[in-house]
Amino acid sequence: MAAIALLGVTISLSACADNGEKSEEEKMDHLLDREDDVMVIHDEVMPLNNDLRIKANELMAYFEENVEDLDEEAQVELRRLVERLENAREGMMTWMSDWSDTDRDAMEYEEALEYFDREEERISEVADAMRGSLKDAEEFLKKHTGNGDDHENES
Amino acid sequence: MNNFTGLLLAGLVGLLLVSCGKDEQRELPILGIPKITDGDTIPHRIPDFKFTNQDSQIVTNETFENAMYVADFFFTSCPTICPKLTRSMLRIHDYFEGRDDLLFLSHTIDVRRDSIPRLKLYAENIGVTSDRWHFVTGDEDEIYDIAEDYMSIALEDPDAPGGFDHSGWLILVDQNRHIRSFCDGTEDEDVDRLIKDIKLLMDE
Repeated sequence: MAAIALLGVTISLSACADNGEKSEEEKMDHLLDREDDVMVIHDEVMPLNNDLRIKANELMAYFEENVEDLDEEAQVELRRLVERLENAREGMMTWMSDWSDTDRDAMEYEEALEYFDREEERISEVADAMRGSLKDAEEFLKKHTGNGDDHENES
Repeated sequence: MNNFTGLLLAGLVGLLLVSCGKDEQRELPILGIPKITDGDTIPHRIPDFKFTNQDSQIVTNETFENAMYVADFFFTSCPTICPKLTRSMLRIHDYFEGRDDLLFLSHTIDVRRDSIPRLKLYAENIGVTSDRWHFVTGDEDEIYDIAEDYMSIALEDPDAPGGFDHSGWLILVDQNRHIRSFCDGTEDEDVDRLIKDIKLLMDE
């Protein structure tokens, strides 16, 4: 009889857990995990931040040296690439500034989850813009000069 | 043993002791790639600079004329490495409290957002009120150019990380603008080593 009662209690407890009700500790752990998920994306691409500036300068130097040899289309492409590199860098700096200015400790659990979802999407877009603009700038330089560092395989 | 032999022996022991002492009290090298001009080798030197600190004061090489300093590059909204870096700078700052011959120079690399009031607030938030620590801003290209100069020591170190945005280095510069040591400011043990190097430089 006692064994049946104990089994009943155990089943009830399992059912509670299965309802998705998390303890405060579990909620805290989950939020920390979500915060880490966002920061992992940031940490992967942050080392490229200075490369964006260097690559934009390289393109500008190339433009100034070869302006007479570049046709209109190439000039437009180059200017657009410089703008993309600068925007990508600015995007990362803005993201970090916003992240730093946000008081996450003051958020309720659900609010924090939504925030991390949003920021994960934002930083992923920033990361794509950084990698994409670098890759395209390198391809441009490779095409026109035969040089260009390869960032394709960098994370 | 006559007097002469005794003196000779005492001299030898003394020489040995002095040699051992010198070995422990090693002299810090001058780092960076030297310039060779007309056959002369000129050691690397931090170039001229002019920035503005958190109190709106102009900071130049002359600010450090009679002092060694520890330099780093940071920005106030940096979420990962910079807080560790700043904690290490603060540790060194507090360790050498009252030593006016050791100053600190933190350059922001986010000049668009890190305004002078924001740098002031950052300094206050970490408890820096002394005028030994300059948080500076200025022309973005000038800051990046000088960062590359400070980080030129990386060219001598194959293990050095690329990109100073994330390098986390603290760099020790002497009164003659020479880089004498550096460490990874995110590693406590490496910071301990820099503290020892600062003491060595103070004893020079």
